[in-house]
Amino acid sequence: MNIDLRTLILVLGIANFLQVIAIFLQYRINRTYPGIGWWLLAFLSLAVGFIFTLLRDGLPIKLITIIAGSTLTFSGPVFMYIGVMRFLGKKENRKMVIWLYVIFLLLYFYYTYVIDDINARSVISAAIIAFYSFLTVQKLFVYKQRSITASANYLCVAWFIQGSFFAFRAVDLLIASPVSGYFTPTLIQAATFLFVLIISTLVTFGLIIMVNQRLNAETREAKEHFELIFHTSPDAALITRLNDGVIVNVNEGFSALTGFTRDETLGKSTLDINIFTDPADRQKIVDKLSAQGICVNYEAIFQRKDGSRINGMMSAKVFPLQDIPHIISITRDISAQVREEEEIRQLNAELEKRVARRTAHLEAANKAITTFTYSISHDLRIPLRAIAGFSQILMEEYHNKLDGEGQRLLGVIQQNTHKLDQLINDMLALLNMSQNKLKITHIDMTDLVNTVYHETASPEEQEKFIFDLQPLPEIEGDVALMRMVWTNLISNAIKFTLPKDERIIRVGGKHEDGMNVFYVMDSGVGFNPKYAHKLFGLFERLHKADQFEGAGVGLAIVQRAVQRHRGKVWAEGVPDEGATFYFSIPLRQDNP
Amino acid sequence: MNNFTEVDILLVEDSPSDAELTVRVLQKNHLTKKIKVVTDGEEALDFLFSRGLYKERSMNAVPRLVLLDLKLPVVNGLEVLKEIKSDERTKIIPVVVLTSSSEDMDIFKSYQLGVNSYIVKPVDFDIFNKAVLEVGMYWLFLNKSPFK
Repeated sequence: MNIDLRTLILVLGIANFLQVIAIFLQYRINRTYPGIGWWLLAFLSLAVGFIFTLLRDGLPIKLITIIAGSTLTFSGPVFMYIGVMRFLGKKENRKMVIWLYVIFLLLYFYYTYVIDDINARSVISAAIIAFYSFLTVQKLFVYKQRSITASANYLCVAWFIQGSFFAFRAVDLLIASPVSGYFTPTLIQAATFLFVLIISTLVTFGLIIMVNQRLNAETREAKEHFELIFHTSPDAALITRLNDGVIVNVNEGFSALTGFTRDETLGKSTLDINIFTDPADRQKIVDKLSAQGICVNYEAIFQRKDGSRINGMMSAKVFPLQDIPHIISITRDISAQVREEEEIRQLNAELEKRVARRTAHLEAANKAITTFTYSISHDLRIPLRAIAGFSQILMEEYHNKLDGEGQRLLGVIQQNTHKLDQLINDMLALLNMSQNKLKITHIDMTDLVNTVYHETASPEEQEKFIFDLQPLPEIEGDVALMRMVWTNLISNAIKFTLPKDERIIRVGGKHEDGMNVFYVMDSGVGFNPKYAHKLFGLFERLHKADQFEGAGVGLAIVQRAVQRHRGKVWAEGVPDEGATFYFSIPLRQDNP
Repeated sequence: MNNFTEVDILLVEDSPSDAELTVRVLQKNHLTKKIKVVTDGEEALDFLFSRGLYKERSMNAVPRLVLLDLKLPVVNGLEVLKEIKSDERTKIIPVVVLTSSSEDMDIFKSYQLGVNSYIVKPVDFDIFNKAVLEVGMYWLFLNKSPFK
């Protein structure tokens, strides 16, 4: 057989370019896969390399074309190796690649410029190609994914044959039949070119098949994933045609939700199986989908096969299925939630009703207490006045007829009448205080305390006391209530300090944490701090009645008055050393 | 007292003690002995308008002063006041409310109906004495009435 090597190389170059086009198309379509770009480079460098090789004799700078052609030819298997590694998701051994380049170039330069030895160059080329072929086979065989096994194995065989051939050729060139000229038409040289042509074609097919195998696998996986999600979702999933509502696919969740089996639904329209309690809902969803392409969390009442109803929340989207617009919808059963919400709403309503009822009761009770207290106060007054009046008449007109004891007893009656009268007055004051609205004005506390002291303490008492009034902060408050507070605190201080030898009353106040805090400190008989909490209770007394007068209403009045200003009262005391009563009033009084 | 054809004061008071104390103060201080005491509102109106028990009484002999309690059985004080002040023959009689009620509503209504004075009965007998005395003094002696 007499084959013209130049023709063969030309054919090889053309075939190579065709392969470049095929791989380029793959690259264009599957740009997202790594490695295909490298394969493209590999085929491109082979193709260009062949052109250089073909032109080696025609060009003036012959040696350069030899170097460039060989380098490009050499780069083919290298790029192929890198591409395969990348395609498998691995990294090539870059150091090795670079070192082999360096060694190859050095040897090539040596055998071109120092010793022009074509045989040596051919041996080097063959050895490198064999090495990379085997390397690629090894890597591909080890790292190939299951999905591409068939094509990978096929490529492994092709590259293994290529590797074996070039290994044999390297050895053969070295020892058996050295080559004298590139285009010397020896059998082995012709066989080599023919072989390269066949292998590279096979490899091109192999690569394309491998890419497609991976594509198929991924498509299958995506489909499987979709099916998996579609069928395992506890929500009802439904795929229908947009224009006529015919059901294309349903999942198990749909059957569970509606009670319709898969067979009962496929091929029918959603209107046929009548899952919408109100068909207008389907129209609304379709309208929304037509306008926006998506419908999110649409709440509707759905009808099950057995006629029972459920609350569902549907989300839907339009998507093309074989170019026909379809709707995929996911519906969640929110009946439990809706029921719970309804229950909560009912409970709340019930609670509100109950609160309203309680409030009404409370208001009624409050009113009853008020009426009761008023009438008690008034009705108590009539006999009280009679007792006072008639004992007064007795005292005036029958004075002579009573002995000392009789007069004393009459005195006791009159005293108690007076006490009861005060008690009733205090109770009325307390009641009024709790009922009436506050009249908030600006109050000069220093002035008020001064006035109250001089009204409360008789001139003789004032003689006996050291009254130390510090400048007090001004406040916003109800002046009538504040007057009661000071009157009670100061009269208490006077009452409980009078028996002592040293009689001091000190009144002071200051800003503290958004409050005005006031105090009345006395050097009186004090109290046991153990009972401090009892001080402000109604009718609570810490001293015996024969020691100190009073009904135990005064401090209750103080507390109530201060509380109505949203303030607090408290007290400190040491038996026999004195007591200090504090109260706080917020800086601002919002209208109560 | 029922025989009085002419009275200075009509005392409308259902509490016998209050009535006695009031009468006593007025008599003791020699203001007048001509006091008629009635114990409910209906009797008061009968007396004033010469009806029922009092139909023999001349309508012309009107009292110079009515002392009126508000809390009364049968017809309460405010109704009595309303009747007195809405009749041409009786509306000129001075009416002084003397009551233990210090409720704002009672005071307000009384004045609306045309009361001439409103006195809250003081609990303290001394002050009560003084108040009754002053009211009597004022309306019987100091005040110039249209009757005489």
